[in-house]
Amino acid sequence: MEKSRSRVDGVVLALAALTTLIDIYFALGFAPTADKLSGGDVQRIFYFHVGIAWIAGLALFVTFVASIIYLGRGEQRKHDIIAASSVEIGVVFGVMVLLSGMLWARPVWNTWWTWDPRLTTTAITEFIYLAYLMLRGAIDDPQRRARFSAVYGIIGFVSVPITYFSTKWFNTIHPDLGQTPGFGLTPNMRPPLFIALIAFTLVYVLLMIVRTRVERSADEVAKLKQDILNA
Amino acid sequence: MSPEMQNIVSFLIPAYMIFWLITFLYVFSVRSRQKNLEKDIETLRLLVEKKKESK
Repeated sequence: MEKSRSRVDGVVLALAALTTLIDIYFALGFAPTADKLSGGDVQRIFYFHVGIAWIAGLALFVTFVASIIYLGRGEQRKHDIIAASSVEIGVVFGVMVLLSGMLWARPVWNTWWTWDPRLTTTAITEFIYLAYLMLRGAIDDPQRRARFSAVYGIIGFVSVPITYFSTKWFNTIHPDLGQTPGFGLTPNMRPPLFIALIAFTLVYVLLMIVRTRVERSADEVAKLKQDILNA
Repeated sequence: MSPEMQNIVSFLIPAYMIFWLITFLYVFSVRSRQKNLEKDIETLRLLVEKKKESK
């Protein structure tokens, strides 16, 4: 069991490392330099920025689905583990989305931050899920904590589609890939983006494997403590 | 240094470095949490065994 587990870890790690390295080559070497309006070479941040944003969105979506399953299928701990682990990854990558976006915005928009709808909704989403983690940490009873987190994970997810569609619903200066054919990219810009999406998905899978293991170990510690009290 | 090169040094490289730095810090934090829990599990298992033996 232990052997097959570490073999799976090794395969995912190798695939994630390989695709990430290929993506670095494609993003920094293969992709053409964008026009001056998009930042020239600085536009290459985009390939990582979108990949990171994809992970953050995916992670919060996984939490949303796991929370629904948790409440709908007899409150099983494994679904709570998936939800809690995925939120943490989503929050970490959400911070990276904001930071990489700011580093692109400074030379292109001439400001680190502006209260643009996309930026504002992204920041709000980040705070909503930071609150999720803080509140989760504040509840001692595991059953109550899991139930509360599941409800929060479902309601909090409303902010994710609002963030995604903010470029369509509001006046914004943030580029909107979904509105233009071919994602508004030249043919040479598409492979680095798609490789980034694959690479970051693998990174997410890898992080989920290690993060869910922490939750299971914490459960084992709690169980052993109970055994000592009962013995 | 040309303005384009300056932008690369000031923004593009830091953006990529931030990604790697935060990812490694996160993986390190998860790994250290896991190691601490594994140590706890080992200690607690010994305690459970000792308690059983003393009975």
